[in-house]
Amino acid sequence: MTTLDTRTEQAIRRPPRAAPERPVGHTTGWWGMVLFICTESMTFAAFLASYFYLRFDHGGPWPPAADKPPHLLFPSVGTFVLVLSCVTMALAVRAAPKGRRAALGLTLLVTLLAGCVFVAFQCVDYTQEMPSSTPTKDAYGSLMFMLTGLHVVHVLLGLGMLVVLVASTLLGRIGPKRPEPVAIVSLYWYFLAVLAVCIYGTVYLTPYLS
Amino acid sequence: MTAATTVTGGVIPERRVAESAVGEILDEVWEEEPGLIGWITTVNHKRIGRRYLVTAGFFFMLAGINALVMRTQLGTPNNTLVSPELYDQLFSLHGVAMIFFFATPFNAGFGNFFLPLMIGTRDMAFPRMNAVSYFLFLFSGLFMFSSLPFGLAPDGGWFAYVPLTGVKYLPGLNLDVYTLGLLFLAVSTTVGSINFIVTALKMRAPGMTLNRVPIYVWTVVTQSFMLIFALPSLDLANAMLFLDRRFGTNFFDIKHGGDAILWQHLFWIFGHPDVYIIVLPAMGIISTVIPTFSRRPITAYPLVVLATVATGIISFGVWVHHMFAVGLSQVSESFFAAATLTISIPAGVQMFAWLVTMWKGRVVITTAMLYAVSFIVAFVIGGVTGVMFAVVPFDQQVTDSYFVVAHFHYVLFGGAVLPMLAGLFYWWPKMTGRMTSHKGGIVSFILVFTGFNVTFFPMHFAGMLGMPRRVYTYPSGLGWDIPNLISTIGAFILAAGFLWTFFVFAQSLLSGPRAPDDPWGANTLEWVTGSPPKPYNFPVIPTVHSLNPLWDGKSLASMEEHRHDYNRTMTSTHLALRTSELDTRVEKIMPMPEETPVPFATAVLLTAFFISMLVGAYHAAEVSFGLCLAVVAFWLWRRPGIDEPEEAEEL
Repeated sequence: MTTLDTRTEQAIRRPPRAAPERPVGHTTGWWGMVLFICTESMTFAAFLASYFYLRFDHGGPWPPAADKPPHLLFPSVGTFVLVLSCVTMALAVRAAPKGRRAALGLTLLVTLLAGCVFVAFQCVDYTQEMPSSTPTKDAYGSLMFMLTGLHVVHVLLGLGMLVVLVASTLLGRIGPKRPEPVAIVSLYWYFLAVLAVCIYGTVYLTPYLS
Repeated sequence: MTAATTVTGGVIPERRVAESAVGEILDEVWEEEPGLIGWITTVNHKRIGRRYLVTAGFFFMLAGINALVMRTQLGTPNNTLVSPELYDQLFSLHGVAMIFFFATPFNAGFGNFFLPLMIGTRDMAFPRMNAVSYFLFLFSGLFMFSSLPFGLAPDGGWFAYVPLTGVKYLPGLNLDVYTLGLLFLAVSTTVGSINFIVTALKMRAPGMTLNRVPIYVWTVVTQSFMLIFALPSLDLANAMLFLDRRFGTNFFDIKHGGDAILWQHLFWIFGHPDVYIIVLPAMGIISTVIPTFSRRPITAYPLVVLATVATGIISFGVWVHHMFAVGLSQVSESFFAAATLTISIPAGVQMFAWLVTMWKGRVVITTAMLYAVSFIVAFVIGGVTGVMFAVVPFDQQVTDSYFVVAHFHYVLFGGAVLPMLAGLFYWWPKMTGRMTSHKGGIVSFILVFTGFNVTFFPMHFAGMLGMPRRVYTYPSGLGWDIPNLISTIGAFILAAGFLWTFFVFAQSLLSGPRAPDDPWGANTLEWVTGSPPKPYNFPVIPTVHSLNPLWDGKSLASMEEHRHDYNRTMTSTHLALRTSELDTRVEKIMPMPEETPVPFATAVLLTAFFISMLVGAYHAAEVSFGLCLAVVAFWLWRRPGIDEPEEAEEL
């Protein structure tokens, strides 16, 4: 049987040959967020699958004859801004453990702003799509509005996390030794950006492929 | 050998030594608020686990009464005890409640109580999330059940197929109760699953490397992973159905480009894994009880673990066998038929592991062991009829008949309720500090097992004779009278069995003999703690030296060795040990939260949100949801350990 943590009487001690390893494991908070992202991914995966299921089940032209193809300008810019905001988020993750509070606050604020731009542009897009497609007119409209809408709700959730982070930074609750919340929130933010690309490709680009 | 001779008696000496060193300080540090405030604010996993068991047991009783009424109605042909409308609600609520509000939460109750004890830690990884997940479960269950007196209980069957459940055919709030109630519960279940996984990954005692993790823990973790990946599909389906019914979207409306089969796919992508979500932890209980009462370690531990995980993965690839009668392509039917046959292999591996464990061991007959063995019999019968469904032409003949009802009651009652009873009798001394009556337990087993078979076995014949499920009555002369009468008699025997079981437990609570720490001579860590365990569980976190820490001698000795080591006793505040995922190297002493009312507030506000959504008060819904988010923000703000100076953080 193997033993652990116990030493024989004539313990032979050697000086360590390699540099001591830092613990490689992740924190409970990190795992919590990763698993949360897993379950969220499944929600969106099921939704995207439903989109294509209904689309190919429907047959014929997509969008259906009664709808116009989606507008591209605002969602394209919005998605681009959201993806780009991952850069400032990554900078924030780097700034946190170094204790550079001003840089941390600034990068978080820029990220927050980018998220707001995304939400605003998405809302503008809804007003543009509205007369020709609505959530209740046909399955195409239901899918488009609800899929993007669910994502917007998640971005709002991410923005809420960022607000808590900014407030914590301003009050000095995120120090060089407690940088963890920034890294954890960043995971969610990257997830939102990946989702944005998938949903943008599905909802706004694929209708032009038929 | 009888149960009495296996009682080894008294306090585990190693723990007594450890407790004499640090017990007093820990008692003070982990002291709990008494009374109502304590009830609302507690984050103690053992109290939450007990509550889960009591609440789920209560819902089991309510859903069981539904079933008794249905069985009475079906006892004789052309019966008029209940109206068709009420019967619809009874069978729908029975199914929904048994699956969602009894089976999964009852397992969660055992998991909450015993997972932290088995892995040798002081609480779950996220104790406050644990509290919120209980309150959400309680409130969503009350939300669901309180609809019945108003005549608003779900009435579209437990899988609520569209287009029947569309607003055109079932107007009224009944199906909104279903969709919102399940979404509500899903929050609780998701949070709880994440908590189980993180606890099992990060909180195991030093030395409990992956090959020393008890099988019960493996099953709970597998189940939690399955929930995380399966539940979103059900949530999405319910959200779509709610939007369709309430706001006129067209996901399932064929006239406007939607599709009814989409519901079936989304539902069963969740629904089939859910069978194993319910059965796997129950199998984990069996893998815990059988080695203890066979007096030897489990046979083929790695194979049983692999089989558990394999079941979890394969179960995601078999959902279409619920849809063989829909008229899908033959290619997909063949694929899913093959996958369904495949999944019986890991189940078989576990079966033989249990049989060999008993074969090679010395079997001790206790109530828990009787229930565990009876599970094997019942689950094999349910499994064999399950494999029969993989044969597409057979499935198309018997689908939606009482043969299906018989099959899934053998799987779910035989596969889940019997192991849960085994678990209750096995862990009762640990949870309450009292022994149950041996003779009373045996009578309970005889009544329940007889009642179960007399109720459900004749349903195979009723189904073969063509009796469809979900009919509220039937004419005589179709050959269904006798099987139905026998089933009804069986249902009352079963009810008597549960009533008797309840009295056995009540008698034990009132006047049962005091339980020693380790009454069964078991092998896993929960039996090191007191009966019932102290709030801090382990005065000294032990070092685990083998898969059977109570049988190897060294693991227990480590509690004595480390009794003056602060890194194992952690006496200053609520603290727990965080270890690395694979090899359990100590990473950090982690601050744990104190008692707090925040989870309760979150749950109340979320309840307000769902009730407002149900009655259509959308502004109230917005306000309560906003407040809920504010409370959650406050919750994140009050991270445990945040008030300590920064330097104290690193180990």
